[in-house]
Amino acid sequence: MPMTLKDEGPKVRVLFTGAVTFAENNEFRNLLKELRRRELSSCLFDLSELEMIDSAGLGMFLIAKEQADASGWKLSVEGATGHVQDMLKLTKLLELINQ
Amino acid sequence: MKLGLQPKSVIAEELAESLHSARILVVDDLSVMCKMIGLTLKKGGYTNVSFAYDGNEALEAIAVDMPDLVILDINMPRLNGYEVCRKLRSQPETAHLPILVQSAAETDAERVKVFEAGGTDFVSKPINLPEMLARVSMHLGNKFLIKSLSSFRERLQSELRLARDMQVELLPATNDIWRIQKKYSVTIDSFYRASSELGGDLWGFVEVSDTQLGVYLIDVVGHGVAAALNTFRVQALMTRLKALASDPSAFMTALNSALVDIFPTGQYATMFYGVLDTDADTLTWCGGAAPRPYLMTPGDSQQIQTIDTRGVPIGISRKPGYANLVTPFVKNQLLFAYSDVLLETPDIVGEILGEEGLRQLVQQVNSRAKCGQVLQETLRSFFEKTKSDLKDDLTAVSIFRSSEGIAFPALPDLENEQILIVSDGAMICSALTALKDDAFDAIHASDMDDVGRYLTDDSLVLSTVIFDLSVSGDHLDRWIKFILGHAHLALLPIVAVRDMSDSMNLGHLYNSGVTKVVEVNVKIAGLRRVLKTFARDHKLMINLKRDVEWRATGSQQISEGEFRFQSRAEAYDLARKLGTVTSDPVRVAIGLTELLVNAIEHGCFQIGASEKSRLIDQDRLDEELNVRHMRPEFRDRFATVKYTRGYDFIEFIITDPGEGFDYENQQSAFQNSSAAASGRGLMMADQLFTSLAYSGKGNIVIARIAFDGIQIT
Repeated sequence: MPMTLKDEGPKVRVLFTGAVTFAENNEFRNLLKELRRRELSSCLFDLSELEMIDSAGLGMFLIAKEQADASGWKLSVEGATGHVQDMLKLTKLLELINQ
Repeated sequence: MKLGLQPKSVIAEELAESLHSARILVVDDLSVMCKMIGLTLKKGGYTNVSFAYDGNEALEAIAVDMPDLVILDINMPRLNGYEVCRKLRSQPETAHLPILVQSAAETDAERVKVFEAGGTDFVSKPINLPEMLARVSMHLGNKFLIKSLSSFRERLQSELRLARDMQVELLPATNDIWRIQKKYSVTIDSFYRASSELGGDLWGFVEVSDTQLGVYLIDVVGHGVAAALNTFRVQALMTRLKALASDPSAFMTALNSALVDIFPTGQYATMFYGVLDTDADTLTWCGGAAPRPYLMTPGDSQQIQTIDTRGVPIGISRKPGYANLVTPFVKNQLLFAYSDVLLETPDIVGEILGEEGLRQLVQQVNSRAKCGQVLQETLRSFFEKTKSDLKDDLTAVSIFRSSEGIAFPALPDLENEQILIVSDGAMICSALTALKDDAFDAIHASDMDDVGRYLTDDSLVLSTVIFDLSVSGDHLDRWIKFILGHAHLALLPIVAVRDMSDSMNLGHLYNSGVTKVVEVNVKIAGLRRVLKTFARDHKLMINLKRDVEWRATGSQQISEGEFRFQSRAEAYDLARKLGTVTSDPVRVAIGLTELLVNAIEHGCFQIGASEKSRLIDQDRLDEELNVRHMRPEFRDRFATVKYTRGYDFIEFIITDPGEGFDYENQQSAFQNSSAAASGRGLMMADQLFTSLAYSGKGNIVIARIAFDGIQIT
């Protein structure tokens, strides 16, 4: 998946590349653990280089949203294109996550 | 090695117990060695040790009482250790028996020789007794753990199969589908294949009212036991929401509310729920991110309509905001819904169909589709291109609003049906020109070489063969055998034209495989009617064959059971479904079709042999069947087929409500006159099944297929 974290103080930016699927489950959980460690005010998931997402991947974003709400930081998802954008539109999850 | 089932200490205990009762065979020609090894093993806790003093004795002892491990000396007279090893490895029962070879094995070449002969491990010479004990213990331990793991796996497999059977039980039953078809004047086609793991697909109907039919497709994300368990939960919740079923958004909102609390974060299901209103001619629906269904008019080249299913999947949000959408759904239109496996399974070159690909495929299929065979043709194409295992369950459902009532299976259109006429007589030549019309094209063969050529021409799709007996009488048997013996010709109707004065025995003709005998002075119009019936039947069977071929490769959809059926349409449907659960689907489907249709025609509607023959002559068989179906004295009559599986056989028992016949007093049950008209069909059934027998008063048929111990999955 490689997810690269860019620190901008309390604002963090995560760049996703490749795919977010069931196979990337562990990596995603580690990312969430890492985010939990920090004192975040907001986190941006940059999906501009993400090519593929499956139902498990969408599930992981929902878990991230839950963690954001619980820990009091703002999650925003941006830059989705192609197939990933289609999936987010079909499931109306973009609005839900960015609320 | 962790099994993950029991705590380590329990495994260790079990291990210890089985190790010490393990049977060890020690083979050595020196009795002093045997004594020493025996004593050491005893000290190590092994109580079950036996001895053999040469190779032959060893092989005998192993044949009588299989040991768990063998300690084998190499240098023995008569039969040495290498030979014993090789012998043991060549037999399946001892192919994996742990053999510890006593060998000096000082050089690499010697070691290789031991392994090549099949030895599992060395015990060094001069013998190092503690080392030997350690190796014995290790090899026995491995064996035990492997066996434990295998039986755990076997149990898991059978539990998974049970769980999958339970999941299949949730899907609509055949009898319910037939009832719904009649009630709403629709033709329903469906297909479900579970993936190799347990999946989360669920689909079904809701009979909202006499004029409203609901259909839902749900895909619970994830695999395995968790997803499967969730399908049971969702099903249970839905049955409680029946009161809301006329309003898709209300239904889904309520279902969603219940699931949000049950599903953990990240767990959800995509859903489509639509209600067909046959009075208002509308489809009202609500979507939760399900793959987009299509609405179309089969046979039309217009753009197919994509149904918008944008919406939050169920189980995620407390405020999903579901809303109803409406679109016209009129007679002659078809709704096709499916699970996303259709979009996402890669083909041989690794490409997936994707939404655009599927839409184009369905568009193409639809423009060619006759009588709504959209699902069939789409899936056939899909399976042709994707040879891989399905990653997820495949569900597909089509609802076709037929304007003439139930059209399944649709009576095929006849166009350019090729009739092969074998004759050199004058009468036939004029028949050739007379027969040619929109439906038929006649091909003439006047000598026997021609016949062979036409029958083996792959580019020719024959509809019927007509033999003029005055020309081909002597060769008839041979040609019939040829036709019946070739899979692609075996279903071909055979008509024999004879002179009234001909002495050839009718019974003999029918028994050898002729479908129908006509007199030489038959009017062309009459012949054409007969040919039309046969041509349509033949096409139906060819379609059945193709249909069964692609539906059959996969897991079963019906477990043992008893099924009622009341019409020819239901007979065909059932024959197809039952055919697909056996490992010889085409054979069973075709054989069963004959038996089930016979049960309807003779048993339920009491159409006797001569009457059937007459109706065929007038091309009125279908019409008469439809009429009888509606008469009060026949309407409630039904036949049943009971299907049971044994380890190496499948059995179908077909019972019809007819009067039967005196089968015990016939030479062979199939030579009796009531079978004559269906002679060819029953003859085929006779050939297709391993055994066919009558029972009761002749209204019960027992058809069996025996396998050579091959288990049917």
